[in-house]
Amino acid sequence: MFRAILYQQWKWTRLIVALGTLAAFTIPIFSLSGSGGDLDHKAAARFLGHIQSWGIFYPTLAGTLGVLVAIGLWAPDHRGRHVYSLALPVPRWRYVLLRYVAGLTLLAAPVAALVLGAVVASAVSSLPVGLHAYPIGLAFRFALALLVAYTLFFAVSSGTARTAATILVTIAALVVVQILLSAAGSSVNILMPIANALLTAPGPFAIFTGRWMLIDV
Amino acid sequence: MSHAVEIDHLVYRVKKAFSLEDLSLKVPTGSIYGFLGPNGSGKTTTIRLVLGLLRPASGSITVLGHAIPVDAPAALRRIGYVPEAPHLDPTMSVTEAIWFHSRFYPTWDGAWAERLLRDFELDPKRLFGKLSKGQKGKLMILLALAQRPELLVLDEPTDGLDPVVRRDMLSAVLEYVSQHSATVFISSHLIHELERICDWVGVMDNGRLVADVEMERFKTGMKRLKVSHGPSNTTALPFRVLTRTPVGNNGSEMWLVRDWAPEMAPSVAAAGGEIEQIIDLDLEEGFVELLRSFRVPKSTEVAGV
Amino acid sequence: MSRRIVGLVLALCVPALARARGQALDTARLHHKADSLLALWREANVLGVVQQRVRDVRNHRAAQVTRATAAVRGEHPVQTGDLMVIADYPDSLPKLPEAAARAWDVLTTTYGSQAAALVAQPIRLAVVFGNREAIPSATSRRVPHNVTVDELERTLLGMAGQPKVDSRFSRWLGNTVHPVLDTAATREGVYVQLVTAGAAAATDCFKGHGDGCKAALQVSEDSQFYLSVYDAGQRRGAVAAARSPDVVDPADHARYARCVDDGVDSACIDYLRGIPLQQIPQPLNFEARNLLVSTALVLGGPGAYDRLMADSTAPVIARLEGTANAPLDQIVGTWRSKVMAARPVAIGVPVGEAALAAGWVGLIAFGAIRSTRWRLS
Repeated sequence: MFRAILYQQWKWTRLIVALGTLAAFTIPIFSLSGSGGDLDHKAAARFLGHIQSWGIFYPTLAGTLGVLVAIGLWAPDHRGRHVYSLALPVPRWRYVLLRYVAGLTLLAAPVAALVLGAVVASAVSSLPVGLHAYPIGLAFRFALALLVAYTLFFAVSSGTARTAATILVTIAALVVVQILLSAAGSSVNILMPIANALLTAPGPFAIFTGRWMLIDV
Repeated sequence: MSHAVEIDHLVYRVKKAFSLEDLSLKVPTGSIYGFLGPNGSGKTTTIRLVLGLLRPASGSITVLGHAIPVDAPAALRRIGYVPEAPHLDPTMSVTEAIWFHSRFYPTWDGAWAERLLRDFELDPKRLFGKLSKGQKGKLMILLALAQRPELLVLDEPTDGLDPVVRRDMLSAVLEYVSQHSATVFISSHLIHELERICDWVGVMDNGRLVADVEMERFKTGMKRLKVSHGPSNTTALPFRVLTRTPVGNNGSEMWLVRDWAPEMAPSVAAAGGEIEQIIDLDLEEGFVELLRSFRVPKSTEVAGV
Repeated sequence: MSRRIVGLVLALCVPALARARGQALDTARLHHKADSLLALWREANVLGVVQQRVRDVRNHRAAQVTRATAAVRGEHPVQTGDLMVIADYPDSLPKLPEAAARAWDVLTTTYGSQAAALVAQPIRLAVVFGNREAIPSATSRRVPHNVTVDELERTLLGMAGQPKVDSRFSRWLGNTVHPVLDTAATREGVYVQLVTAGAAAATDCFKGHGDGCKAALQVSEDSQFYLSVYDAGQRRGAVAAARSPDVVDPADHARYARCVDDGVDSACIDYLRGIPLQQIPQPLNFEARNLLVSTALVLGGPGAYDRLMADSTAPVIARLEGTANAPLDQIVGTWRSKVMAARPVAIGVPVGEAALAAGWVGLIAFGAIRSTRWRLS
């Protein structure tokens, strides 16, 4: 049963997973390829700055992969209005769990690719004295961020279309209200507190705002 | 008599658009039950409620001894379902769809599926989304039958299909039923098709069950009677008078009746009336007249159920 | 004959005697002068002390007057040692007494007896809350009502300022002596500097060579520090970093080209000799040197700052050793130990952060799996 669902989900999301895996492998390598330089006085400082500039790609990839895979898992079911799924002799909660775990299984590939890419990149680069590579730490944060994004959008996508629409309309309404307030010259900011609540502990996206550095002191 | 499906005082509402009110229905085990009704009468809704895809507002549903929707997964393991619109993943090939479906049913009969695949002349490698309507319908029947279900629920399985395909599909169903004594619950608005295969018939109209009777009795029991000097009150008669329409100027009326048997003729005479003519109705005519009588306001004529 | 000889001797001796007498008189006069000067100096000292006392009294009186005035105005000043802070809405700053106490402690620890002069005038704060627009005084510093005690402490220290230092010390240090707050973060920053400095001396220091630390900190005040701090490749990089876009001197340009393009170290050295020292990148910045000074002050205990500023002509090394009452090796060793112990936390996901993420995942997944809203409509 799980194999069947895994195979089906692989068919639906293989392009996304493949591209994400490729990106996860290459980002660490690219991040270390252009760093340093003979004429650079502050070689290590520039090195770290270069690494830091690539740091944004990891949470972006984690968020994008999580969202796309989660949505891709449920889109065919939504198109068929869940008739087939509901008619299967499987309790609904078990069916959802099977889909969830199958998605996690697929997402193991980009995480593994990131570990491999980070280890390879660290191994072939000569680091200035005092700098260290943290491939496992980086990959662990990536895995957690990916898990959070995937789980959240899996939950949203697995609900009714009305639920998803409600969430999206709420977000859009908040943005519109903020724009109107700003246009009216008001200093009230409703988005910033929400963003802070989401992006800082104990918000769900706190994992995205940590240190995304493959190399550091 | 045991029943494969028992629906008791079922109520289901979709805001103000549609409702099923106080629906009670029993499908005898081993029968082929035809579920008739015009479009929008509630056939598909009733089927989805029976399968647990929808939750009723009140009432009870029991399928193969399992309470629905509480125990739906256990019941679904024994039910083969062909929905109104084919709902498989269009990116899966025929072989993949069969393999995927088989993973969920321990009673899956692979040999039977292979045979049906050949009989239906389906290309195993073709994607489901690329199949014709008839081929999709055949594949759905294949999936439902290869499960070896005890109950087949078919929601307008032959709708829009050509006669050859319809014949192939129904033949496969009948073959299965004859070999496994399964119960079939089939909905359609193609009355002539059901007339040939069904033992029982239930007629839905506007969310209400207007008839639930053996097919033979439904067919032979629906008659038009031209009656003169008929009694004003027909409740004492052994058959049911659905509508009364005056004809001519001599006091004659055309009665539409159900549950008629020839031996009931003297009861009309005993009531002071005289049967001038008995007109047979085929199933379709009977069905149409039944629905029409059901929709006539009670104040004007005697209504249906 | 004998009378003539005696007379000659007398004639010869008289001038000598007269000179001697004159000298004796001069010496005595000098002694007298010196005594007078000494007396004058003592008087001046006493006068200075008296004047200082008068200033202190005046300040104290001024503080008393300020306090009294503030009381009349209902301003409720907060006083810790010589530090007085007046907030216009003190009730809105419950952390003010704690912040003032901490700030005063830092000031006295760093500057010793000179701390009082920094806070001769009260510090005025204007609390900002709601949509308050007007500030009562141009000398008030605006602080939000929800300011943390750390931020308030920094504000008070910033407003107190630092004592002036002599130009020689300032030239080496790069600024006045600042109190070191948030010691862990400062040490961590210096650690990162050691790693990222791109200087052979800094790398040596990182590896544990004390001479490397001294060179990187430039305690010897060597105007050609680039010879000991950087290797040839780093000098080349320093030239590239230090190049002024306005160089038009052909000789300069030639030296630059030979250094940067051809990698000739002697050309690099010649070039670096010819440009102002401020244009040559330094291996470690002010923070690192200030931390060294702070280390010396801590080692020296009470009166350390006064000793640091006692002799403005002394070399930096001597001044640091005098401040700490310890040899430079010990000061630098202590400095390095503290910096190396402050290595930033290794990159990873803290347990709490991981648990939080896992908790959210569990909660959301549970909700999705148990949701009963998924029905046909």
